[in-house]
Amino acid sequence: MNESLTDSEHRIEVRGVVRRGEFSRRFDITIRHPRTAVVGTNGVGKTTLLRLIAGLERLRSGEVVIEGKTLDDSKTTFVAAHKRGVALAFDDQRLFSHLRVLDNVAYPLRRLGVNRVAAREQASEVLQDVGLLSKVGARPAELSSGQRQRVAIARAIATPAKVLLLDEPLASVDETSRHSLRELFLRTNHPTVVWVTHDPFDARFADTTIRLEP
Amino acid sequence: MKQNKRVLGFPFALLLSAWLAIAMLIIPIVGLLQRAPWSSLGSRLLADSVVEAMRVSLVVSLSAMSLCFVMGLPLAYLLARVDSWILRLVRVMVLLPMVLPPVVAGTALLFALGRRGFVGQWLDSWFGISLPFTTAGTVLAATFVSLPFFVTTVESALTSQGESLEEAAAVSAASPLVAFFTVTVPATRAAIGAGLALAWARALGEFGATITFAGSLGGTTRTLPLQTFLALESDPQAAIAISVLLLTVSLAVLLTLRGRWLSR
Repeated sequence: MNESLTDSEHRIEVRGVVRRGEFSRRFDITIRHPRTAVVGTNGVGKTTLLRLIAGLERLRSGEVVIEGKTLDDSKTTFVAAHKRGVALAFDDQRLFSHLRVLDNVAYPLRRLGVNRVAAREQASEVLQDVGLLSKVGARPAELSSGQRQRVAIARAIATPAKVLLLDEPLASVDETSRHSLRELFLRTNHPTVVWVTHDPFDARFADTTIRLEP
Repeated sequence: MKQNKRVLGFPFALLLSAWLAIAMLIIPIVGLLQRAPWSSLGSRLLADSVVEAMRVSLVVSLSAMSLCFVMGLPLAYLLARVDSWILRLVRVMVLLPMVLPPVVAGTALLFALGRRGFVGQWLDSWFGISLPFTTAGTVLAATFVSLPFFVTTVESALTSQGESLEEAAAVSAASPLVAFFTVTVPATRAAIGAGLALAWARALGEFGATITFAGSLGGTTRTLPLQTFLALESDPQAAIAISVLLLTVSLAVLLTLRGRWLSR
C-alpha cells in the first residue's frame, strides 16, 4: 500500500537504551516509510518510542536521528521537544482545560507565530476534518472521551511538523469516526506519520508495521 | 459532597474531648464579640490612628503578597519540577518561617539586613538603603513569614498536576517558559489564588517579626496588629474594635477558600 511513497532515506532512527527507574529497554528501530504503524503488547515500550522521538525522553546510550539530523546522541546533543518539529497526540489527550476546543487546536500554531485569526481559521478546518466543528466553543470538560481524543488528534495534526506521532489515536473513538480519521492520517501534510495501535485493522492502513517485541 | 452517614458508633469519650477543642476555638472569639463596642465600632475604626494603621497594613500586606507571588511562584515551580539534594534542603527551609517564632525571624532579619547586618551594611554603604524601621522593612518581615504559605500551597498543586500538560505544550512547539505562562499558570490558578489569600492573611496579621525588625512607628511601620497591641493599654475599646475588624477579614479569607477546604 502506498508503495510509491516509500522513501529509501531513513526518516527516523532510534537506536540505544532508555532507562527510567525500573524500566529499561533497548531500541533498534528504523522508520523508512511515510506511514508506519507500531504494534506490540502492553508495556513493551510503544509509548516510550514515541516519547524518544518527540524529545520527552532521553536515551541513556545511543542516538535518535530524524531525517539525517541527530536530535539526541545521549551525550552532549539533545534537541528540546519544542524545537524538534515533531507533533504528538497523547493517548490520554492532555487537553488544556482553561482553553476552548478551538484554542486548544490553535495553540501550536500560535506558538509557531501564526496570528490569532489565522490560527483559529486553520484550527477550525482541522476540527472540521475530525468532525468536531460544532464543538469549537466547548471546554474540554464538556466533551465525551471520544470527542476529547479527536481534539487531541486535531491539535497534533494542526501542528506544522516533519513528524506526526499518534499514540493509540483511535482507542476511545467510536466506530463511525474511525474511518474518516484513518483517512486523515493518510492524507495529512506531515511527511512522516507514526501511529501506535492495538488494532491489527488500524495497522493495515500503514505502509509498514513495526512490531515491538519484549 | 456530603459524607455518608456513619454506621459505626462514635466513642463518647472522644466526643467529649473533641467538644472541648471546639470550645477552645470558640470561647475566645465569643469573648471578643461580647465585649465589642458595636454602637461605636464605626467611629473607633475611623479614628485617625486606626485609619493610618489600616493604610500601613494594606500597603504592607499587599506588597508582601505581591513579593510572594513574584518570588514564590518560580520557587514553587522549581521545587515541584526539579529534584536535587539542595532543593530538598530548600523545601525544608521554605517551611522554616511557619514554625520559627516570629520574634526570632525579626531578630534574624535585623542581624542580616540591619544597618550593621552582613547584607545591610552593604545596602547602607553602597545604596544608602536602610531597612529597619521603614515600611520596606515591614514588607520584608511580612514577606518572610508569609512566603511559606504561598509556596507550599502552589507547590503541592503543581506536584499533583504533574508534567503532563507541559509535555503537551512542548510537543505543540511551546518553549518551557512559554508553556509555564500559557499552560502551567492557568491550570494552577485556583491554587495560586488560595496561596495568595493565605499569604495575604498571614502578612496582615504579622506582629512579632515586624516589631522586632521594623519597630512600631505610626504611619510607617505600625500595622493594625501593632496598633491593637498599643491601644490595649490606652484604649481597650479601640483594640477590640480593630480585633473585630481583623477577625472579620480572616473569616472572609476562609470563606473565600471554602471551595477548597470547607467542602469535601
